[in-house]
Amino acid sequence: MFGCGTNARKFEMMRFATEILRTPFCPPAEAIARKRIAFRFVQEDLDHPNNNLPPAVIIPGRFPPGHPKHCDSWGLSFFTTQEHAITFYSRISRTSARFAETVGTHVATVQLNEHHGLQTNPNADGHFNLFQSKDFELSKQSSEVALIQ
Amino acid sequence: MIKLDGILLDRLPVEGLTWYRDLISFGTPILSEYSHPKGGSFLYFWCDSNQTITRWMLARVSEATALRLRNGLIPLHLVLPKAVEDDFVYFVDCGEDAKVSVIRLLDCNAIPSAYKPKLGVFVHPQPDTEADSFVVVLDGNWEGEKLFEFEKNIRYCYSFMYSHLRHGIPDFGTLPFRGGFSGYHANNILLKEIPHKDRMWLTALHYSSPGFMRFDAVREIADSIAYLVKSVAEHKTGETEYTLLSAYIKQNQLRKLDSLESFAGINSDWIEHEGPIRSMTLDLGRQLRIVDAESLVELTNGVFKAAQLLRWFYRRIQDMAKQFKLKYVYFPPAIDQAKLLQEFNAPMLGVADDGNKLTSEDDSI
Repeated sequence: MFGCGTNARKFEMMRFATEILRTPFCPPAEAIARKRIAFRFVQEDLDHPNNNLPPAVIIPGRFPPGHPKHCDSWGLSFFTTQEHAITFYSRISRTSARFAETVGTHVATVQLNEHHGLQTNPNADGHFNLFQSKDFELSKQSSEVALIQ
Repeated sequence: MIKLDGILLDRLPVEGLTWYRDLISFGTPILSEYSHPKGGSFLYFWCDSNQTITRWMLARVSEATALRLRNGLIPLHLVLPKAVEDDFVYFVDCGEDAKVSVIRLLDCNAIPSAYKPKLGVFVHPQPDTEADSFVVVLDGNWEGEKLFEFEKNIRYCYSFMYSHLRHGIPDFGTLPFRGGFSGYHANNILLKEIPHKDRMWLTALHYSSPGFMRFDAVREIADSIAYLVKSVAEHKTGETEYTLLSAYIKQNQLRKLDSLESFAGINSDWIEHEGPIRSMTLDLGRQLRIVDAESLVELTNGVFKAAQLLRWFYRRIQDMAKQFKLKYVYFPPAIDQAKLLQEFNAPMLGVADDGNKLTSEDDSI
């Protein structure tokens, strides 16, 4: 399982493994499997397919021309705290009218564990990516869903 | 997807754009900066998507605008479309695999409001990706003289810091560390030890508000200067120690001791001052963290030399800190903030002391 096997074993367990391995430096070497309570923007209906899909799948090719596609688009975005998530949301949702429509209007509290995939280190905004395992189902791990005010 | 008017184009008239960095992203880019081979910046801004098409606004902005945006000095809504260099923008629709399918040229006044950023979104400053480039943003009204004073101060501090961190302060020989010995000569002595490729050079100056100075420099050295300036501006780091040391030198008229021997321990007048000067120099060095005052004292072969050199350095940091505090100058974020903090060991503690302040001195040591 994640965190204790070889790299090959880790990738085998990963959802979208083929596509991820085609992307340079993906997943990042720093990414590890770990337990953590995390927060993710979701559509109100937790079973909405977008909730469990990385941006690269929701809108394929969402890169401007000449952009080096990067690994982040294959990860699921999470935040370490609800405050971080809401602060980020209120800032970024003002850049584009389509943001809320695309990522959802709610924030889910999610219990991540070592079997759910590889997590990158959180950045200054508290944001990190989860390169999810085949077993990960967001709706089953979410304990609470709140509307972002 | 909003229906757009405008002029349909067969191809994008702008060629050779190179991706520079993402300014805002969330899994995929929202705002990306591109550079043009002939100079200037272009912004690709995500406006819309459906299941198959993603729409981008492409706009040309000046280098100064891009710099202000990148450093979080101007909100996005004042750039797109207000600070666009042309009267028009391009809308680029891309299909899957980011292949361009439709290109439109649209008057800036015809941009739908849903495609414009809302008020007050700032880009979070990010480290520059060019490791040997250090760009300082200038704001406010700068007189020419002040501008060149700033440029000189940062270069001098860089020379000091480079020498100190990389190979130790060189021997200043028999040059007198007292009135009349100018900072210019001190810098020249320090410069001799710095390989040509590692020296700090001003490579571009954009004199406007906002403007910028771009330097070629070893980035980690330049970052350490910026860190010290911020620390002095925000926490008055080292101010008390500098003031005490300077007051002691002034009160005891040490700069007027008329022979070099005075500083070599031959003159009995000096012996009584050596202990206090050493102690106060080490105190100032400890406050600055990254400056190892003990090795400075050892390598400069004299306590008084070390004290004067450290004061010379600190005064310049202090001058830059004043401009930083007034928001006349903005430094780029450090490329390796973690390493920088490690070098400083611990967060600096500011010691406020409003009394007995010395005024800025002349250019002599």
